[in-house]
Amino acid sequence: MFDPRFWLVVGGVAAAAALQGPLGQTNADRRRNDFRYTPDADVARVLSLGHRSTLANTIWLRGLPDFAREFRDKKLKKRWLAGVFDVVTELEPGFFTAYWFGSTYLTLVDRDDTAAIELLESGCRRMLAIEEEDGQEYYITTRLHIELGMTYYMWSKDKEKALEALEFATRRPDCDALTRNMVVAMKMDEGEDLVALTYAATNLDSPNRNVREKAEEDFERTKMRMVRREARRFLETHTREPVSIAELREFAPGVPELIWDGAEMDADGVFAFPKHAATELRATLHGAEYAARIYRDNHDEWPPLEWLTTPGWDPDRPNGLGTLPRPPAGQAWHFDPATGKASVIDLPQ
Amino acid sequence: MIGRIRAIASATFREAVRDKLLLLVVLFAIGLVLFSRVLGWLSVEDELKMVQDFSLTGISLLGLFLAMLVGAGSLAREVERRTVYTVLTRTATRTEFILGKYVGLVLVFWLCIVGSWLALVAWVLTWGGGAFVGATLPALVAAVVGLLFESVVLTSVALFLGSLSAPAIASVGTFVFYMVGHSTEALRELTDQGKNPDFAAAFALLYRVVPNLENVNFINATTSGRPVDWVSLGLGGVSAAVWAAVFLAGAVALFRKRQF
Amino acid sequence: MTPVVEARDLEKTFRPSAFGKPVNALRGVSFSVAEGECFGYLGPNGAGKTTTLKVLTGLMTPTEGEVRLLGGPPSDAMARLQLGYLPENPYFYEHLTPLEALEFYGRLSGMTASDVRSRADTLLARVQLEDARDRRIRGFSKGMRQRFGLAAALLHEPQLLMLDEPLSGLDPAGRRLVKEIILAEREKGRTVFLCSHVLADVQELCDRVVILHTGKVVREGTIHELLESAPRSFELCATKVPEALVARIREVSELFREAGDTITAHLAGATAGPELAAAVHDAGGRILSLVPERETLESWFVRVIQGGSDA
Repeated sequence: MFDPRFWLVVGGVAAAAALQGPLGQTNADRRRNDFRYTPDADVARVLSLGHRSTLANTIWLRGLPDFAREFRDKKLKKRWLAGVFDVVTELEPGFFTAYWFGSTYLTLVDRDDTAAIELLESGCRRMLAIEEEDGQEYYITTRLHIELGMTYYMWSKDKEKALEALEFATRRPDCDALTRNMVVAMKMDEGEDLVALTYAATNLDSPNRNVREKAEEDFERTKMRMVRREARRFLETHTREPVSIAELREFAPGVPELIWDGAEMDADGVFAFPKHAATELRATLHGAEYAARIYRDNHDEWPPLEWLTTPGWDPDRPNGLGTLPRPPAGQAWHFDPATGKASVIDLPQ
Repeated sequence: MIGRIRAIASATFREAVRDKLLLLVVLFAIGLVLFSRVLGWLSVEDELKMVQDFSLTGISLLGLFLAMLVGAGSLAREVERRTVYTVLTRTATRTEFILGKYVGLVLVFWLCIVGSWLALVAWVLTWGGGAFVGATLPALVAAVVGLLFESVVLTSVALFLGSLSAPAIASVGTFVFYMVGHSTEALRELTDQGKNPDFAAAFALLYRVVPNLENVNFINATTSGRPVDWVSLGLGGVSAAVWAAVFLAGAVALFRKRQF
Repeated sequence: MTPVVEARDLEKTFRPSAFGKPVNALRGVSFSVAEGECFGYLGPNGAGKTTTLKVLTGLMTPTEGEVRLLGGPPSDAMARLQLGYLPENPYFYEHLTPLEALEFYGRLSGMTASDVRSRADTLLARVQLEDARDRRIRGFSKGMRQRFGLAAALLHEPQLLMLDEPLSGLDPAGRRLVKEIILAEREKGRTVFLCSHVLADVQELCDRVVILHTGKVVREGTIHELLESAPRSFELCATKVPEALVARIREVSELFREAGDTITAHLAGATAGPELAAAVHDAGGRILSLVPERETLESWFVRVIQGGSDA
């Protein structure tokens, strides 16, 4: 029905395809433990012909699958990946993922915190040089310092160096609240209240409302924790609770004046921080609304209040974000399914 | 004179735009832009960074390939097909012919580069949304403007080499020029850092006398959020224009001596 | 009156490669063309006709000698304003349509776009390309290109037409068309410079002729003078010719064929053919055909060179 030449071509293609599978497998097995070559960073810069980011990406994509791959020659793997991190970050100093994955790999898999720290420090150095050149700050610099600090803290157990790097990050407005609170706590432990308060106050005047409100909450909590710490010390010294704010202030002349702002003592002699309570409540309500929005995006309807307040209320639609804490005394959580607004209402007396 | 240059430019433009080769090269570039998404998936993180970097590299190579495949051979093609006879026996001078060809080619190449770039922007918009595009748009604009400037130089070099030698040699020459033009800065930096001091003088000289295409290279780290140095981009453009004028003058000088 | 085209002692030497032997394409060529004249520039392939044209139009500079074109040097763009040039086997921008290409050439000859448009339709009709006006030249046959090239050369109504082998590649109808156009242009007083290697083509169109061979002018004169010396022959085909006459014809003919009572004879010279035909007629035979045949210049020259005798 067809020309015999047609069948010859079909047969040829089929034979080639049949051979190609096993052959490819053999070759792939052989290549798996092949020598990997990364050029020297300087050479790579010249060879990139100006396409530095693209070459960095290419080398990165080449190295990425080898992170989890077993090499027969462990030293080769180490040398190859170290080369990848080095060349990639040299070609593109702001390639955060390379630092981040790289340092994570070096600590978690290679257990080589020195190399991880070296990588992160080179990143910090490069980014600081870029910032100086541009006269502008970049989030990557902050994140690199956080990664560096955490590596010192968790792997090298060098608290001093960790704090140095984390403090650098904390001083910048784009530092995340978690890191900042950690540094504030560390500073409080070292008795440097004023420094801790200064860090806690970093974003109080942020133009971004969410950032500002979060900062207010953190700041008020820091103050409250300092007041409570002094109250505990008072108890240890005098074996009784202080009777007034004034007495506690007199007991602790060294702490910054600032922390007493907004501190109250009710008739029962209990400390209260109405301002902290207010900021905390506001943050909680924002969190609730955020969770509700995610729920609506997933299920096309607003959640019932119970989903927000009761853990495990709907096993089919679990609340992975966590449920609301107890509401303030004499009040109850309220959720308006028409507007998605969360609030508190007074309980009937 | 301007009228004649315009006529030659517009004929060159139409002739090139309707050529299938051009379509092929542009399709290749747009294919690369679309394919870059796959590299993004492979990278786990930084997906749109991969898209932008690989695409901009692709568009830069597009500019190079156009200069090599269309630009370097354009004069030889005119001579070989003897179309040049019908042009130069009218009132057009050889200078006008070269300038017209140049303008027409540059316009075609710009069209291709901007077209591929728009495909990239649309692609990034599809995957990254308006906010991402908004954040990186200045860098993307600077990148494509730089590529347009680069094409200005590459085209003039291709025409110059095309009036000097055979198309194949001119193509290779344009490629070599692209390589050298992009590496003199890195080579000089190497010696600045104290390595290879023996070559320092040679690299310093090379850096001076070869057009530095890195001056208009704004394709790196477009997603980094670094501000665009528009002044140096502008100066790069001026420098590109000066080099283009030099190469064109060379092309005109060679072409005027040419016997058909 | 200043000649429209004037060439004095033209020499052109090519060096095919850096180490190759130089080739003398033109060796002291001189001639001049007066206004309104139809000038034939004849020569076999490789004689240097196209080289001369390139020198005349400024595409080449002569190694030696001087050229005046419409009163100026051909390198002067303004001297070329009144020149309409049709290259041999012309090629145009493949992806343009005839209309676009005419617009392009018009603008290069100082015409406005509206001038071109008003002329284009008539011109394309004149060369019978009106149906192809919006097709790309890419798809044109050789003859169509040739006709389009003529239209392009005529576009700006130039004083001087330089046509390089304008009839090559054309079918008989196309040849007639082009010949008519050339004659019409001559009627209008235009100067025509026509290059050809076919003597017969030139004969119908030209007043005066120069013949070029291996880069030298070997003959110059009016078409009559040339025709006198031009070799010609006849092919006579007749039937029912008396025996005696057949023998006589066989004797003088260069080639002779006899099939039944029909004879075909190839008779050299300008007179033998007609004379023998009259004899056949007088003897009661029937003449089937008497076809005059002219040699191409090429074969003429081949004969001249090989035979060593002046043709």
